[in-house]
Amino acid sequence: MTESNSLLEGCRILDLTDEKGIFAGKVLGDFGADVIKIEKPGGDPARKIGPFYKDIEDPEKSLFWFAANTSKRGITLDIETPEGQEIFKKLAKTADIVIESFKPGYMDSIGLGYCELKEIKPDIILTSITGFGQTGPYAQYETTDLIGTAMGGLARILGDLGTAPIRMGYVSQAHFHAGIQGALGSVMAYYHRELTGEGQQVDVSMQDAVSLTLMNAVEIFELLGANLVGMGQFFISVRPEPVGILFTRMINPCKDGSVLYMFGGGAFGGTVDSSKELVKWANEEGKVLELKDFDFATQWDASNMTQEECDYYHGFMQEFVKNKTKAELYERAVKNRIMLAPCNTVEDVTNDAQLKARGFWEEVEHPELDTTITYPGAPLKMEDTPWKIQRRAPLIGEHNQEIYESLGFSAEEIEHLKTNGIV
Amino acid sequence: MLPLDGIKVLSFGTGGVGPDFGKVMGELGADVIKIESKDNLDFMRTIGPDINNIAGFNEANRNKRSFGVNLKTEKGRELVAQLVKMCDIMMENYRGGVMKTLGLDYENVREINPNIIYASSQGFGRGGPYSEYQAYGPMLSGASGMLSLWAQPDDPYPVGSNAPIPDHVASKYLVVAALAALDYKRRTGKGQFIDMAQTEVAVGMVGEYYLDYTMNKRVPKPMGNRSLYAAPHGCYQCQGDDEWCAITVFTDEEWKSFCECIGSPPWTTAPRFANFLSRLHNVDELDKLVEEWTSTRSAMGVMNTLQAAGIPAGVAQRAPETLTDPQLKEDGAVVELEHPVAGKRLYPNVAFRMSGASGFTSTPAPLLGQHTVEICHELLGMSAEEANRLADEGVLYISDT
Repeated sequence: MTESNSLLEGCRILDLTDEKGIFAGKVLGDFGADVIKIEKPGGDPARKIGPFYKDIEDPEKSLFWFAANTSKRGITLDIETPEGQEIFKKLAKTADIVIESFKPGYMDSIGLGYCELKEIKPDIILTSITGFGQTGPYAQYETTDLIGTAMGGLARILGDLGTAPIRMGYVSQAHFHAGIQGALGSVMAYYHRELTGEGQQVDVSMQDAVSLTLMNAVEIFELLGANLVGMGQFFISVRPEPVGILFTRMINPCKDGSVLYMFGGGAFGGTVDSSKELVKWANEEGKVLELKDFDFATQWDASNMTQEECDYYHGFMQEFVKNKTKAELYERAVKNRIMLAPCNTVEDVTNDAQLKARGFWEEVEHPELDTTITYPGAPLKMEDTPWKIQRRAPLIGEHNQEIYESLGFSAEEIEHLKTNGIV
Repeated sequence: MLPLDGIKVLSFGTGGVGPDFGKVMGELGADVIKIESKDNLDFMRTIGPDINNIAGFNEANRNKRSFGVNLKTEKGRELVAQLVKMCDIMMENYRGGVMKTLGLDYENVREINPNIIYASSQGFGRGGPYSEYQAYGPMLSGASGMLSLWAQPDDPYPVGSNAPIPDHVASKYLVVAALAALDYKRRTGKGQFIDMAQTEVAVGMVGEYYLDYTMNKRVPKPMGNRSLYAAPHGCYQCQGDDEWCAITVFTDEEWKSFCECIGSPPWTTAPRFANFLSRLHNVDELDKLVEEWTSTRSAMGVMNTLQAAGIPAGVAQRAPETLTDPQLKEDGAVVELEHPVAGKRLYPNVAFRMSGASGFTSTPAPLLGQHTVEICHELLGMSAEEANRLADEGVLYISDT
């Protein structure tokens, strides 16, 4: 790729984040920014997060680290030492954006807060990604992915009725929401700076980022007073009392797992056609004849029907779906535009025809492991400025030499810094 | 001044991704015009009795003006073409192929506005066997593999996701792409086409487990709220009706503080809980014992007690509680808006604060055709009489209120 067709060309980002904000730099790096991940000497604690390559627990073999740090270069630097802080300031002079996820106040306490950075580089952008934002009663509270998911209101909506709130299993999710908002805020500030010459501080809260993923749950309460709790697998039709909420189960068991589909009708146009097609298919096989002449547009009145009626009608379809495989259901769904998708396993997705046809998977070379690893690739294609994984995640201190040399350090000086544990 | 002052966005969005994209662009200062037709409504307008007062629509469609126009008329298409000429960014997320039948696909649009940034988002993306397949947010949680992880280990089926997560991440991803494209256009003068697949964004959110599958041939199984690196790690029932608090204890130091916090009952010194690995091994019993402690306390009390000792803990809040949450309030994460039909309501605001750009704008979702006359006048140089005449002819749609 030549310099001239790169997005965010010349935008240098110093990435000081831990796992809370680690995705922000990845997103911007994949888009073309020059992201330098700064780790503690010895390596970042996020390297201890698994799974691991061939299950070997080693800081250079964390698959989490690989996935979260594509397109970044890496250096080590101890920013808690005065010497390290001076070096960081030198780096900051060359940078456009600094992204960090320390507790509020920490950067100030080591003399690297926004005010200090502004002294060195007046138009610098400092993006801070924290659990709860820089100020407020919970600003100093500890956070993890599950805490962010819970406090942002997401965990409580999901799960089954009457059971514990739940997040998506052991994958960073609140961290991802915070990361994408961090990337958004950073690029927004960068765009603003290109127009005006002004830098600024961007304050991202994970709790806030999660609360923005609740879709209509907040407004359903505001408008109708209904509280959505523990209804992950249902489509919800909210009606005023006394009829109350109508639940139509979206996730239903099939022969070899589960599928998610829309069933219903009335004013919600898309589901009418979809449900008709599903019934038509079942009828062809002599099943679900009970709904043969059912008019989903007029007879499925989601605003008035009782839960019993809904379950009664849907029951016929659930019975039909139960005896089909995910693959059979999906194939027919795509062909006849039935709003259905399988609850795919990671293995299913890896073999998915659409992702393959779009060339989604990217082979990334890992010479240090003498192998090539398949990564999830571009989530979007841009014709003029192709998105790509610019490079695999950095090894510990992999780019110390080239980056410190570019700052004017001699080989001896770099060696000296190493001996003193600064890098 | 706002970062996107002066940027014009034409939005042909429906459902989640398109409207949310426009909402964020609008918050940041862009003038976002939603092209709507009475005959082919944004489906979110159809999931309740009043097209102008739907909870989900009102949230996702803030910060936009509504231009009501019938795209099936030649005059209507001509007016939209004039708007296309003026805009910087066009966004659509209809089912694959729909924009082409309207003559508004990128190839056509580029003829009249060569440097436009055209963002297209489909559930499964362009090209490939599913390109014209209709998608709905929650379906993509299933198709991407997310749902397979979203359950307790013994659940018969997944229990995510009424909240269509892929939509909400995809829309932000697309804003990042659009801003990067705007910056690129500023430097080179060139616009471009952006083709997003929401499933692909979602797959990226589970990245390391795809690497785990390709490298280690392991298919991850759901494990609820548990972690491989922390115990206790879960949502624990507290006092009251269906109240829960999330607690995560990673390090042995955190465990020590946790034990002190809960009054060091004798079981906390048992060897089977002495270190992380033994706690993980005995996690079923551990979870029960932790819940014995939480169940006699309020969720808020559990959070505050543990946080005071530096243990990550947080109430599993219900969605409406986020509106009155003191922290979110302090962050400016909630904004009150007056909608012409819904009245004064609270809405979530932008997820970040910017020190240099003050006064993010937020306006309530438009009624269908609320700004037709205004846009005709301001951008198309038309009088109100003319606009009304076109409305009578069925070309434009103007809201009554």
